[in-house]
Amino acid sequence: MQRAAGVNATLPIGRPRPSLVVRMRRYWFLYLLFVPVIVYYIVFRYYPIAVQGILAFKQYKLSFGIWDSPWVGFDNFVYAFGRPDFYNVLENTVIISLLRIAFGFFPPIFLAILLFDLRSSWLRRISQTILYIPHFFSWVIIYGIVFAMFSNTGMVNQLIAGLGGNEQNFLMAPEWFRPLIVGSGIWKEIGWGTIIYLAALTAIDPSIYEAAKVDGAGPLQRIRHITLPGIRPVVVFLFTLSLGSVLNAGVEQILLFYSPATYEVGDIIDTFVFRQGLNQLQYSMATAVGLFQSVIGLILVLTANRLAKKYAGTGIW
Amino acid sequence: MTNRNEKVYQAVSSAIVIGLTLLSAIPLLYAISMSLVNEQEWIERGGFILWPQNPTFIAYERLFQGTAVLQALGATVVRTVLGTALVLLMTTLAAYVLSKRNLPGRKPMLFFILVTILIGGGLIPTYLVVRDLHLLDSVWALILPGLVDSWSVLVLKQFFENIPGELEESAVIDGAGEVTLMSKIMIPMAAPAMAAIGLFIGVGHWNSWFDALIYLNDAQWHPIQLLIRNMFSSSEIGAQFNNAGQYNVLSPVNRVSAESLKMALVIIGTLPIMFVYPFLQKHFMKGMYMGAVKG
Repeated sequence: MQRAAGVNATLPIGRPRPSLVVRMRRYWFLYLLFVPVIVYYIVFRYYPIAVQGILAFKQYKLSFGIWDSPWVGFDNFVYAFGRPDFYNVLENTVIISLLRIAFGFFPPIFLAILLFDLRSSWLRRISQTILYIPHFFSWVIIYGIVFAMFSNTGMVNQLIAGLGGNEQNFLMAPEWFRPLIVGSGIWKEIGWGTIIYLAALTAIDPSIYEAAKVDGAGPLQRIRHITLPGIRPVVVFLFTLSLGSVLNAGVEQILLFYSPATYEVGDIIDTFVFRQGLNQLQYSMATAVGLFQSVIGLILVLTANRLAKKYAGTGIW
Repeated sequence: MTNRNEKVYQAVSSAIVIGLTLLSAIPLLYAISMSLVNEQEWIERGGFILWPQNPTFIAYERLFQGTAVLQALGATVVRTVLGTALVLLMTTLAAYVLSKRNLPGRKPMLFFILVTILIGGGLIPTYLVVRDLHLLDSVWALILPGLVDSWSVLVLKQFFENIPGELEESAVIDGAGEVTLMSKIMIPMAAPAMAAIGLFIGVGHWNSWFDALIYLNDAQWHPIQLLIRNMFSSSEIGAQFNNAGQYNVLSPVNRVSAESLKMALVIIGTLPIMFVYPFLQKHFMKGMYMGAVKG
């Protein structure tokens, strides 16, 4: 906006640039169109951010509302951080996120390379069609399918029983909770995850592959020297980004899968905030934990973006 | 030697891809088959059913005998249609305005929207805002909080920007005003992109349940996904749908197991997705959403 006067001199055409007011008036209709958008963002996006920043430092009282409840400084944080279950929740969040990255990050890359190298295009197309489907299912549906497979009467226990093994209480046993969460997450997203790598792979010049073949390079050598270097920037970019969201361990999925029997290994920050806030009505404490999560999360994303710029040559912005 | 390597590699990778595809398909097939058997077959075959011997729609009949499933489907259709239409309208407005390169203040306006991808108010503050606006227990609680999708704004904005400038210029020379330009030229040009975004938003609406869990106490607007979730945690679903009066509740042929009822619910919850899936696939295969990764 400040360039209104300065830019004139550099414009190749001699006609003076109209003043800001004149230009803005010319676009009045577009500004009018944008008004509902602004209203939406203020009411449903920016106002909650302000509420979060304020309520975290207040003791919410229903009769007083958000603005008139008394200030309490850092009491909500002291209370939350003083709870023994808080550290369990923090630990679960980070562990589940890291497990998701450790086991879920590389399979789509592997699968994308295989799909890309497949010579049979009908096999590729059929597999892709089936593999992408679960991405579009809600977590409720995914839970339903996991239930069908792993409940006491489910398919897996029928198989175990048929083979003479001991049935497992997969859905209630704490030791099975994390494998089930991480595994069903991979099941849902492995196909969809290949898309971005397939896009990167199609950008590699096919003549490089032809030249390598002529020179006698085998399939594994081609993967190592052409395919992997070709998708390296995307891999590094997505990997750093995934590190930026370790405090978001997948609230919708966990809310469906967990139960009091598995809180110990499955309760994460978001589910903790959900229960403390909406079930126990501890609005202030839950908001303080939410603010803590937002601030750490923002720092992590900004750091991840810098790392992505440094190592992948490209950030999100 | 080299040729043999290639063949081995093709064989191994085909085998792995087929294996993973089966791993995706079998649970789906199992869910479908389980929804198509009566209690008799379920007991006889011990629940391990990949292909029903005597397929029957008894589970679906029982589910649709009551009003709960129909009501939830109705509520979901309303929220999906209304929600998708409004999100598409708002997203198009935002994207169209922000695609005007010479618009004074365009950068801060764009920044104003993009910031919210990075920071948000979190669960409780958003809940309090919805509550204080008296939206609880109304369908608007499921629509208004997500009225604009910031990512889709970016995608659509890019699409508008890629429409050749000459088109706009010639229209303006022909005397088209801003309204004509937008409604007669730009929006029809962007229609395919809007359709694609609309599909994704629609799927999102159909699939959501968490917002309903938070904002709706009253079951009137409970969407199908939330109903499914609640029925999965109910131990009485079998009794609820088998003892509906006119059935011979003692004969397993006329009964349906709780497992089959649950799987029938799962299938009902995915049917519309399967229906639009070919269209979705057409769009994301073209790489529509790839461009969005880097705004």
